[in-house]
Amino acid sequence: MSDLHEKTFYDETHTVFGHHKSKLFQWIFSIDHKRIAILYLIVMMSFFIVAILVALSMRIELFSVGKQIMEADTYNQAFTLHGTIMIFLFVVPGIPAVFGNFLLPLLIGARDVSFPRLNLLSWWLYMFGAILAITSLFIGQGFADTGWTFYAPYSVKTGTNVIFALSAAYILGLASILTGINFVVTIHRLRAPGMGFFKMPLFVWGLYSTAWIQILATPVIGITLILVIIERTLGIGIFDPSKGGDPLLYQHLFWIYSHPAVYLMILPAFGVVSEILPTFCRRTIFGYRSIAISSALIAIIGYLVWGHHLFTSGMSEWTKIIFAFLTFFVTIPTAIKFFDWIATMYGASIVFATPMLWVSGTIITFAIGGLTGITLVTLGVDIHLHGTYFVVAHFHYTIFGGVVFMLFAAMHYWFPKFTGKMYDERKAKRAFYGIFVGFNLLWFPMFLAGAFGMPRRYYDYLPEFEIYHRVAGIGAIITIVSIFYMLYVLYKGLKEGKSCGNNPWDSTTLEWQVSSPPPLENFKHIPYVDFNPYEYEKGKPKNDLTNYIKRGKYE
Amino acid sequence: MFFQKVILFLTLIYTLNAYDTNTTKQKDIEIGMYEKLGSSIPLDATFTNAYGEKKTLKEFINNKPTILTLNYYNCLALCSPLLSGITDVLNKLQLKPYIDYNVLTISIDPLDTPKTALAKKNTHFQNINIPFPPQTWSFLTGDQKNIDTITNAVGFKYQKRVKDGVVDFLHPGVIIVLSPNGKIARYLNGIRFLSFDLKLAVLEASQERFGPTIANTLLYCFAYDAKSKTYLFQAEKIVGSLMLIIIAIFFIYLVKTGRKKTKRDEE
Repeated sequence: MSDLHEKTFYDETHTVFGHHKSKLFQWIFSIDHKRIAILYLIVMMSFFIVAILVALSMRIELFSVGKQIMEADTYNQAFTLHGTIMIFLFVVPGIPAVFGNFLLPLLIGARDVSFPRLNLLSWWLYMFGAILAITSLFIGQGFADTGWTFYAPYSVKTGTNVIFALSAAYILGLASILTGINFVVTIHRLRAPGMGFFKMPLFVWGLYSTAWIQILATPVIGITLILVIIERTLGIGIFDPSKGGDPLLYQHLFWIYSHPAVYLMILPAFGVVSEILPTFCRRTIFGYRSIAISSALIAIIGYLVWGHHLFTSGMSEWTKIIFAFLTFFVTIPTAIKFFDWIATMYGASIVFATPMLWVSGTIITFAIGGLTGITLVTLGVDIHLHGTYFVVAHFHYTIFGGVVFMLFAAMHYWFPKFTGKMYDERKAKRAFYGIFVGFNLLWFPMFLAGAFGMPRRYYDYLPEFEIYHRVAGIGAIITIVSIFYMLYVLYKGLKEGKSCGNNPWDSTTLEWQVSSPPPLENFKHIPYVDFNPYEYEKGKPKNDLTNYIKRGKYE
Repeated sequence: MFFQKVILFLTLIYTLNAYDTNTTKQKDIEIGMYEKLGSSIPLDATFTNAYGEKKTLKEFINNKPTILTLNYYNCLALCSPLLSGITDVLNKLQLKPYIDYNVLTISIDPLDTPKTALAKKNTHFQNINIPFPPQTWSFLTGDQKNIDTITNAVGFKYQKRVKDGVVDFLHPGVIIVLSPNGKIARYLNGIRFLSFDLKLAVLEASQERFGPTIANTLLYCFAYDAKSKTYLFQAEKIVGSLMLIIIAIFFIYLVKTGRKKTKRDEE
């Protein structure tokens, strides 16, 4: 056990100006990866709360047939705002920006990321983009009403503040690319001696694949958004058929980024699952290499499947068949991961602590989300389902039931690492059950409504669909109340939780072997890693790493 | 020959004020839909149905929500797909024809006669496979004055064109839902319609509610010559390849250089 009076990163920091007196400046100009992670966490969670409240207003509008609380145009702006905030400000930065930043150097035995100043710049760019997006709410004709996809030609023609929203997305994309470069270089160059690629924890594999997607795919969306801005200001006609352009080109360019982007969201979440499972199953993860390689495979195949978003937009039949076929391939590496996880759990004495509960819940919800993805990519079925609530349900089952659930799991799992304290287990579990039940009430009826023909993006509907919207509305309220309850439980834990030592879960990975919260610069001595990340013996960690790290290789 | 070089795309594109932009290109031709939601159509205009009976629009509407389309019966292009789209959606509508709604198809060609109307009616009735009283859907013809009255009232702009001795009309594809009192309740653009949209429109029209045009879609039928418009694709290929090469070099550099040695490691 390390000295409890040791200084943590909350007590001291490096800023971009060296030392600075102001407490606030010590945070917003800190180049410590752990402080930057917490900055992201605070801002992202604030946006998340705004976006769920916007979503709630949409659910209230849809609670009954006819107009309830907003006009149709306001509804269009509401779903654009919800989508834009959730995608660009919450889920895309998501797990990498918070948990990647905080844990990557700790997991690979490094003192910080390769470019700490660039890391801070990414956060500032993120803030700048966010402020730009928010500004557009209050000026001119209000927020864009295009949906988060900004499809041309409508995005070229609408009177709302599309340029603002696009510039914001562009700047956020830049922040994302910089984070990607930082992570790739860090993983290549700052791994502890002895730690080969196949000795890295699986969360690092997830981050590595994600970082490459950020580097390769994000420039495409950047260029696309600029093309729309050029169209709006100069009217060259890139997407305008009357001038020889092609409106479908926009959809292609958009999805060349945005489909890999969903893997960019889910891969770190898969990484979180692979960290939590061995800890609470008290055994080595089944099929380490196959999980690691399947992350990279998902990232690669993810590039080749964008066309499945355009099945109803107008493509040649052959192209459709090829894209459908390629998309089915994504299921293979994903299924490999699932089977590996289930094999890890099989026969294990599982400790159902809150993070493990979240993982179990996700295995159910993400399986539903993933399998309905196969339904959607089946060409004939997609023609019927594409424009319906079925897609909305599928998307939320994967992104909320996969990524956001895993973000919540990570918030519980690494809470002791972030704070050195423990939350109230019983209450945290209660919050999980609330969210899980609410989530399923909210989105499962949408599968049915969609299959029976409820179109998406509509602000009104036929009376026979009222029952689905009613159930979903009740689910939405349960989910949101439970999310606030969960945040309250974590806040209570932060304020009044008992301190829990460095490694309350008996985990084997490096981040748990330093004190909680970690000191500035993480490791006094960089450890030599000649062991695998998840080695358990008789339900206990095999290696006593704490002393090992204290001692260091060079001592 | 031109068409061999041309790839035809049919795209449905979401756009709110779609049709005002449709006309900006050539000012001499005004074709499109200028929406007049909530305004009344001239109920006393008279038309003749396929059986030669002359009645006013008020009598044809018969105090029910009414689906109105404007076509002509010798139309070679848009009208047949549009009318087929209507028969498709009527089959799925789950409302009682003649009790819950009526359909009116008015010819914009004054040379059309009840005979051509009847031929058209028979063709399309073959595709209706639900119990459907024939008087539900009237195929009307009228003189130029009455045609002008109705097209102006609903904002339907079209052009007569004579090419190689063949008369045809350039016109938008749209169906208009009228309330029982003859007010314009909703426009549905395109040639294929969701039964969801039409049912919602008919139900609202029956209550004299005039909602905004949901899912206002514009049918873009455009020709794209892939051979002559390659500049953007070339630029994309070049920039894309450059990016990939730079990133590949970056990756090789990282793999080659390996772990960074720092002074602190030696402590």
